Amino acid sequence: MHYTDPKTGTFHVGYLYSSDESSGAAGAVTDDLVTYRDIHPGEPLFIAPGGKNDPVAVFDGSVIPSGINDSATLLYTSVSYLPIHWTIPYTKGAETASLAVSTDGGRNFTKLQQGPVIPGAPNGANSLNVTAFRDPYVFQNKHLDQLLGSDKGTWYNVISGGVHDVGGSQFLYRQADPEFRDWEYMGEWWKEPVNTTWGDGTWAGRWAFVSFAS
Amino acid sequence: MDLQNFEVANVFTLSETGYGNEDVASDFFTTIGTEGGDYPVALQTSPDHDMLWINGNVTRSENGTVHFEPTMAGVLDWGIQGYAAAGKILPSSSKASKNSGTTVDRFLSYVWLTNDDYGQSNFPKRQQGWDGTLLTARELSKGSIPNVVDNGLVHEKASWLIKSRNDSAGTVELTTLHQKIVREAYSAFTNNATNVHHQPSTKLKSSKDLEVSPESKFFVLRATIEFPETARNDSSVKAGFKILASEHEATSIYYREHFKNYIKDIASH
Repeated sequence: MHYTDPKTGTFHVGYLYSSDESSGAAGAVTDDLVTYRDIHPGEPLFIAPGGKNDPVAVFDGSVIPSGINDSATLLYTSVSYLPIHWTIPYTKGAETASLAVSTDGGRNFTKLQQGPVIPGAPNGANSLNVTAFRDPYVFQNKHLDQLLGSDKGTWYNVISGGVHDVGGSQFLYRQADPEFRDWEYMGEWWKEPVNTTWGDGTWAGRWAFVSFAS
Repeated sequence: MDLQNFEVANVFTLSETGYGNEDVASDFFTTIGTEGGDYPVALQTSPDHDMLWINGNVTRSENGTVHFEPTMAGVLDWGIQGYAAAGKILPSSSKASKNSGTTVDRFLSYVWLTNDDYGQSNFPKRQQGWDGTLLTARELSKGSIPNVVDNGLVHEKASWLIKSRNDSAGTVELTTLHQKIVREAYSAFTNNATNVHHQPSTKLKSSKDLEVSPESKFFVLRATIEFPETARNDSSVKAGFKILASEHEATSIYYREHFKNYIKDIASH
């Protein structure tokens, strides 16, 4: 959830936060990468769960620095059902992706009054029995623009997860409108089968936990 | 049960200087947190995970879909409690870059050191008194390692690629992910030092105290270590430093040429 505010040049560092009293995402800002200042004294939350899209929890997301109305726009994991764990069956709609916008320099992100912009894992003909569907990561890329015939500066995001009995996966999405209200599913642009390794497993494990202890 | 899962993926492109090469198909990188477990997997409890990086080639297939195909992959942070790296482009227009005179776009990544979520590890959490922390930011770039002996190992499917070959010398130059402490922090660590000590080089066969040991637990220690050629084949040869040592515990950080790995060993006596 980091980003550089294009208006000020200040770098924002965002992270998931929890205490006995509250949870959500919190932030600090820096102009020199040495000293960081909390965006709020005490509990530096900029978003907390409890909305219609995220009654249960706010998980990780990422920021389009100059998004809706040129304001910092957060695309985050809005959680409706728990538990979520890769070892158990997945509850449909447990993790969706929603938008929140900051108009006060990143101190607060206000949730848009609309449903999730990505309402869950691929369904219909693309239906997948996912192990997880979270942490949308937004990025721009010229090479993808060329390959996909996208407009210059189009935003993409990958959502992390996997498919039961198949393996870990990244789900690729493309911005469909200027307000980021819709995202076009571009498929699993990368996936790795379960129980496989990179090479002999020495350098990146088996795309899961490195150890092979019996 | 055949299960594994990816989390917290970042996608970006890297050049030799940092963020860049957005239009180069082979310069895509992703970092991922992986969830899996040793078998049998304990339902909802297995906490084992890794923080990986992968470099790949992005192409379009005939049916119009795009694909990321890994070309090298490695571990972003080998620490058991290092996870959920979160990165972002830091443009040269940022205040931090302007303040430090950095004219290139960078990609910064912050690794999370998990709090008392040590899972199966038995760690003395009561000593710590903090609730999770982000590690010092690191700058990621495409790096090179020159003059590597061209043997079987360098041709493995690994965390490097062969960039060029020098047949007469029998060496190769490798490309891999380069990670460095963010330059502003490193400058602050070293420029604001209240005491600087240089120790001349020496040959060591066993451990020896530094001429001056740091009294504070906050210090930067920089050294160059040369191994004899025999260290390649002798698994017992290691060299490094013991730091933060007391009568109760010590941290040893050392390199083994034979295994080509660093070990950080935190042990109580």
